[in-house]
Amino acid sequence: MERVLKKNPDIIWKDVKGETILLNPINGKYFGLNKVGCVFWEKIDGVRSLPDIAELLLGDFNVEKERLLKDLEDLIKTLQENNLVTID
Amino acid sequence: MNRPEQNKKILSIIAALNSDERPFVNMSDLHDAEWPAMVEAIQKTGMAGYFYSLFSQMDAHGEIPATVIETLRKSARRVAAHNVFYESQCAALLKGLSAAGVDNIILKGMSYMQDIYGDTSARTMSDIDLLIHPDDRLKTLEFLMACGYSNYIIPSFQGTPEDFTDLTDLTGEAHFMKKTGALTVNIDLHWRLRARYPMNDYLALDSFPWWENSGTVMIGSVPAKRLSIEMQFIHLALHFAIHHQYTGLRWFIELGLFIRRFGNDLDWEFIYGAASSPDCRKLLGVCLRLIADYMGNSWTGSEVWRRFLPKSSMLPGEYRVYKNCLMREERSRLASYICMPLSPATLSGRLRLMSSFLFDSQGVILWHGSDTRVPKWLKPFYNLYIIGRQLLSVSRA
Repeated sequence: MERVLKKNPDIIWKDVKGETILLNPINGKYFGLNKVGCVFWEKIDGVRSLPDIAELLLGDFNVEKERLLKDLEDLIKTLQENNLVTID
Repeated sequence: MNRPEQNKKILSIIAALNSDERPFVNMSDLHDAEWPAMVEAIQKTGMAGYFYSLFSQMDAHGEIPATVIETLRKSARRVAAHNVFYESQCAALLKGLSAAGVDNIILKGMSYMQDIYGDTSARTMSDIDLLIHPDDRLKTLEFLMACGYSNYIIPSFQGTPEDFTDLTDLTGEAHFMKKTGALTVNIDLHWRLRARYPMNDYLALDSFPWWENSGTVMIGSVPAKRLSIEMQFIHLALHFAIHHQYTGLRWFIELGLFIRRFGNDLDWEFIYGAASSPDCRKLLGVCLRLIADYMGNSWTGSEVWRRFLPKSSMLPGEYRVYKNCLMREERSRLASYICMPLSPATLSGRLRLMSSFLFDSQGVILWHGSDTRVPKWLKPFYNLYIIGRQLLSVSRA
């Protein structure tokens, strides 16, 4: 089954000077996402699957698919570890 | 480098990097800066975001060590995260107040940050400042309590809770806080805008047309009422002059940047008319003169501050006292006891304020606790004793 990502509803975020700042008010931790991470975060809607989002990103950025998927896996791992997203 | 020199250097760098002249005239300030101390001082102002943007300018980048930029970038991100939280809390609060039928005006930082810095991450938001109508006080209190806020007593207050309630009534403001997860939201709720006692008697801030001169600002996606730029300037300058006694870089820099952004748009005739008393004009004039002196005449022309600050309103050496206050790190009780009696534009006003401190226990006692009753003839001595004790305890601390 394809994995679908959901944002933690407690998280608040804002684009600040080209970075997306994510804040988890429950533990006070914050994270900065770069441009690709920022677009990835925007596309997480609880409906699209991970491969769907990856396809959309491939259309937005000039990057090799393998490299993108590897980077996304790393990013998702960090987001999950910090309770910013959940995977169904 | 001592604190005054450090502060002067920071102001000098801001003036240079905001200058229209190229190349910068005071680039030498960047070369001989003691960066670790400078970064520490900047972080204390809570303005890491602003300085990160300022130092990242193309023209300055090569002059500043990369480690400094990186340290400020990290601090700026922390400030941004903190402000994202405050902004979301403020938006929720404004929505709730609107639903509860409480008319309000958002004051200070949150109301103009986007305008003067270009984003809301430039400096740390320490609280949400709201002005409400006095009649809405109870309704607002109930709303805040229902939202999980609690009323709190300022930690430095030394009197009883009853004394603090008296002080709250006198100042027309109360403080609330709420824990949300690991973070805390602070609200300063004003149902009156009043100067600190005993200055409130002669400044009469309550009678200023705050409500009649307002505009709109977006907080997140929520439209909020704010003061017009003229009233924002008056409020910001009086807050710096009276509440902070011209102390601390943060409010001064912000006031300067406000003038830098809006100076040409401000209706100075309106401001002169609204600040109708010579005392109030003097306070604004001192602020404007400090900006002209430290940031350059292009920020606020000397013709502007001279109009607000006629020579006759100042005592010899008085301006130097205010400049010294600006170079201090934090406002002090001593500065308060010196600046307040100096503030009026006339000799009779100064004497009146001094007599308030000496003969009216509220001038000094309320902050300390009012359980001691002393005969009237002993009051001046007792008040002087309390002032001395407060100053001593501060210096010991």
